[in-house]
Amino acid sequence: MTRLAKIFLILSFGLLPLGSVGAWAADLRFTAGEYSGFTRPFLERVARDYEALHPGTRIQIEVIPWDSYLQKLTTDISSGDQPDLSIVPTMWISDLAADGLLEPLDGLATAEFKAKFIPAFLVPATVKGQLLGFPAAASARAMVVNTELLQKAGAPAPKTWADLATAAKAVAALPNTYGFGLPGKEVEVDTYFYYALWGFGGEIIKDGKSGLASPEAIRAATFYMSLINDKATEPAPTAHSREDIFRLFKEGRIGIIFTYPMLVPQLKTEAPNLKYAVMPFPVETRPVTLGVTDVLAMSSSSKNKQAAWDFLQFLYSDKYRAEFDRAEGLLPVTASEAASSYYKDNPDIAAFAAGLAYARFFPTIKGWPEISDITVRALQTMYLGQKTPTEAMTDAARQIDEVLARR
Amino acid sequence: MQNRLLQNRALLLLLLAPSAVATALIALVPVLLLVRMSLSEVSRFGRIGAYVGWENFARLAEDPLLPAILLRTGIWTGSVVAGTMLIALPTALILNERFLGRGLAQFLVLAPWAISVASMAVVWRHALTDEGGLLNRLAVAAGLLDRPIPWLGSVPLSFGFEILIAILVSVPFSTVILLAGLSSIPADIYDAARLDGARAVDRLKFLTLPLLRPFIWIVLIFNIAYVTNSFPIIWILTQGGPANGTDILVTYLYKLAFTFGRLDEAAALSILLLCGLAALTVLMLRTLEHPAHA
Amino acid sequence: MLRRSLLYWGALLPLLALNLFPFAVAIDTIYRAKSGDMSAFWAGMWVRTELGISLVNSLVIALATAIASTLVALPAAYALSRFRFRGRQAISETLLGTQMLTPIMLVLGLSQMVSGMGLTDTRAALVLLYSAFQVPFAVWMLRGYIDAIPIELEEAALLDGASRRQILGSIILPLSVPALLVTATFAFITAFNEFVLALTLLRSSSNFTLPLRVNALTAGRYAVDWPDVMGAVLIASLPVLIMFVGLQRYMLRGLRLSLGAT
Repeated sequence: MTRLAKIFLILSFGLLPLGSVGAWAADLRFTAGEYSGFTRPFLERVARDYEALHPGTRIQIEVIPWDSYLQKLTTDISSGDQPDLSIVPTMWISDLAADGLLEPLDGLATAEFKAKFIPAFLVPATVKGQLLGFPAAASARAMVVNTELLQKAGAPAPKTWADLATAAKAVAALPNTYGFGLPGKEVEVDTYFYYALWGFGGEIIKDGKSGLASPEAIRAATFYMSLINDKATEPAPTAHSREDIFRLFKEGRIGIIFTYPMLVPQLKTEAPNLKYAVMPFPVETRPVTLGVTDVLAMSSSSKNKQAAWDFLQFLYSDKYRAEFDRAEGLLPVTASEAASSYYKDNPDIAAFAAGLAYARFFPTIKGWPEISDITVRALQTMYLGQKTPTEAMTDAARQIDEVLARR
Repeated sequence: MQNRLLQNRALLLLLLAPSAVATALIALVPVLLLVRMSLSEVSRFGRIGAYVGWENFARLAEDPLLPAILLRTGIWTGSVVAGTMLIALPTALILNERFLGRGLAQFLVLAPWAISVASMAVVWRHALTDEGGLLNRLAVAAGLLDRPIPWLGSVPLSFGFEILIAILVSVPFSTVILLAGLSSIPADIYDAARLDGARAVDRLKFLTLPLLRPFIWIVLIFNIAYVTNSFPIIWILTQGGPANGTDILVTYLYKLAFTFGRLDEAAALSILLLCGLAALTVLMLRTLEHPAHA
Repeated sequence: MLRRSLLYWGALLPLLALNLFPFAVAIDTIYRAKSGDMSAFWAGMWVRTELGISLVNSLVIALATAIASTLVALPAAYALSRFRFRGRQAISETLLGTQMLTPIMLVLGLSQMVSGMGLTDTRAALVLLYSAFQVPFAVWMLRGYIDAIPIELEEAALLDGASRRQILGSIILPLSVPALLVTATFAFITAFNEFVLALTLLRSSSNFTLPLRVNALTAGRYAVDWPDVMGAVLIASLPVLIMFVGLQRYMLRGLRLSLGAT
């Protein structure tokens, strides 16, 4: 047995030296999350265009489903294989920066280049005064209602949260329909809660502590819970993911949903006969919406920083930006795009774009995914009826405070 | 003569070497890497930092979610393995008999094997969430339901379905192994027993099952490994939710590593999981006095 | 005979219904959403999902795994069957024990190892790992089979002056063909359907295997085209189903010979 162990050891250490060579033939690796079927062909095309102009550079494009993106980036980085350029959600930036994985871009970017962007969008990617990335995608959320159902139910389009409850109940009373679509499974379960939390005047994090135990948060939680108890939502929210809710909405079975701009083109193609309207979130104390940005950042360990920077600028040329934003249903990040009539004339898109003025963002703190998961868990136990809103929220706040203290 | 044929040390090593390398590749290198990670501080994105000793294990011990997940893993493994045995054994006994269309029946028993576990989970998920889907239509048509329901709404129902699917995907392999075992039992033993007046039940109890025992053990061993492999079922159907209600160790491990970015604790959990399975294997090999040529 | 057959079919019915259910769901989903020209749907699905390239990837990886794992395992199986040496029992048990190792437990370490070897996002990495994971099972299967080959055959050849290599090549190898085929079939199916490692190690869409393609069509998408997904699942199941039609009798016989030796 000992001899066997020796053989194993010798053989396995014989394999380790193989480990030092990187086998990437391409000069630049570029990763991005998959916004839609358009993302990869588009980026491939930009890369080929660039290569045609710069024969010395080869660019490898990797478009990864959002579900497994973080995992792939983690495996890449832990094995010293970080892509030269990546488009990542803003909430990963602080963790990436903490490991020194991102290249500060202040030195590379001219004032003229920086002036291309809407200034507010440069803020989320600035950590400790250093600019670590440029906005690559921006989006804001809004409410979409099925106007036909609302009309049938005799409910006006909701302006306040109380209106929303009334309208949802009225729609739910119609045969085979649900009032308000509340996803309780997988992605963004917590996001749907933050809309109401902000709407009622609460905060996710306040003075370095969780804001979930605040009276506003408990009011928001109680509000959703009363919708469920009044059967104004779809049955069993914990069985429905965001996509399930959208599917029901497309089938004309749900009266009110909260959503992102990308749903509009889907509605046009998949449910051409659906009558809908995009409107701002209900207002209680102040108008709210969630702004989401993704950031294009450069690896600090890139061996081809100059080429990477050059390609980054190429990607931000107006032609590509406009094509990308419009095809993906995103909102503009550059000042010139924002000024284009496309974002003003179309009422659907204008309704989403209007929110950019008062949009709020997820906090950029370390440990955010864990905090988000604790919130999701608290909401799910509440939706399942295992805890009251007050219990669920105070328990979650305590756990979140522990996470915040640990970091 | 025997000596020349059976004792040649250099040749022996040469013959064993390729398999040894292969096994080392999966059993040794990754485990060593995991051990290193579990004893260090590892950042969100996998940068290995200072040596911290047992701290990661200590933090795991304090994790409030783990006890319930551990218990659920036990329930999961027990019910999937038991369920698989309870279905595979009678199925194999039937398929070992001669009857009309046996080949077709065999093919249909094997069919789920042709779909990857991940795709199987995707299809079932759609079936269980689609209100206008086949399952709901069948249930309504059969009068079982008044109206379509979301099947994955409650924890017990979700977990139950996940167990059912895990059983369904492991039945084909288990049946095949048991069937091979059954068909290797010589028919004349049965003839003798029948002549001696043994009833069918007795023949099963005193002849078939004892003779089948090594194969039952093999199926058990492979199935326990298979069960940890059925990660995609839970991940795709519920991601361990709602509220961690369907998390088992491997899904929680994946969450720790890739959602929370607590890679060091995830590595520690991997090590514990490996130790647990190793202990279980040793235990099973010890209890098993005569496994099929182990 | 007829009554007995009906009885057996009746007993199997619940299981068969559950087995066929996923196929029924897939077909139902497609036909409910798409009416009219079905060949147009299938052709469109094939292009939209880029299924062709994934099918090729899966077939290549699975075939390479089947061949590599069987060839690597054969010498060890022969050694464990024929040689008497210290540690033989320990090796056997270690082999069976490594069968307990599953990719998901080792995924953190494996991905580090693979990228250390510079093989991330290559099909070769999957072949390497799949083969390695398959070796213990393959050794165990082949060994049972070789146990049943009378050693007298080899002794006679040795008397005739045959060398060890000749014995392996002209006696053991040809006689083991049925067992090699069964072992390779098992390896093929496992590799063809593996998900976790492929998910962790592959990046480029052009390297995706079929399970990964199906996953990419559903996971994290803003909109899922279910008929396309179900079409892809059905196509992905075809190669193994066809194998069952052709090989199931052969597979069972080979398995019986391998397992029945003791």
